[in-house]
Amino acid sequence: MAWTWFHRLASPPHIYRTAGRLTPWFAWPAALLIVAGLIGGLYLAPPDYQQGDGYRIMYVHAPSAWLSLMVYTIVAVAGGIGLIWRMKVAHAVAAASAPIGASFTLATLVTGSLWGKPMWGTYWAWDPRLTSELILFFMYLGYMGLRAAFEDVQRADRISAVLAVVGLVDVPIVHYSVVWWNSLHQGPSVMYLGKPTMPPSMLVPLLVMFLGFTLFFGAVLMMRLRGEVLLRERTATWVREAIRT
Amino acid sequence: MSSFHSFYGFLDMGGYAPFVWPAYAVTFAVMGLNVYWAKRLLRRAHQAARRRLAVQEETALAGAAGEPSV
Repeated sequence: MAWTWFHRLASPPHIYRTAGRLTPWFAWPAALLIVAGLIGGLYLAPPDYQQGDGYRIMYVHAPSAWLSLMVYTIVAVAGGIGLIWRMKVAHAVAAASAPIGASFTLATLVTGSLWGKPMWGTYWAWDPRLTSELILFFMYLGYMGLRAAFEDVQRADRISAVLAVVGLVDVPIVHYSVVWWNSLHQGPSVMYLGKPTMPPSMLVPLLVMFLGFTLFFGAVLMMRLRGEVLLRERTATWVREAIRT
Repeated sequence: MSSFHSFYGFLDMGGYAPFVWPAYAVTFAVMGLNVYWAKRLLRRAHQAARRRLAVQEETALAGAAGEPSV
């Protein structure tokens, strides 16, 4: 009896309906938070004492980087759950998340590059943080490419999940690269030795953006998940009702 | 409240405009594309499901009429 919630969670029609209902609950707060974060970060926050107004790239770069790592972790964990418990819905979550994560990884690399040019004098360097993030981007591309190589969704799910789980080693490497190695990239800026490194006028817009980007991911995931769940249902009668409404 | 003294100052971003604005443009382009791709995926999944159901109904009808089903 205690496991009924688990079965409900794993049931495709339940997921399809719930994801549809949840989408606006992610999308609207995301939109509001991102607009608030934009005003706070671009306009209200003071300039940095070293980087002037150039540091404002942080308000899109850091949340994108956060998504690049969080979403990869979701792809790998959901893929792993799908492998172990043979849960179609978990595989659908992994497949739905990957393109979102890949796009934000690209955004991280591009915005980081645009930040690096004025601050370090170069768009790119083979630095531990930059290189491990680029590898993360290739992991996403590899995952998506592998999926696309299979006609059969179930086979694509299983084989790509193995790749996603193996690639998870890169996530801690990206995160700790600035601590483990002497990196060109600045250290952690939200928290350092348990204390924020920024005054609240700079930090609050950043935290608002982190939350806004995370909810944005949630909204896009809900939409994609419905599509992925439908693609995995071959003969189910609930599909008939779902697509006619 | 703000650190900028004029609208021009805001646009100029303390001289960092060529880096700050493209960074924001790229990020919001990525967000817009995500919404577009998600909607497209859902639309295509609906179309595929509709086609599958149509095929199933046809074969079911054919089977009921005594013809060999596929």
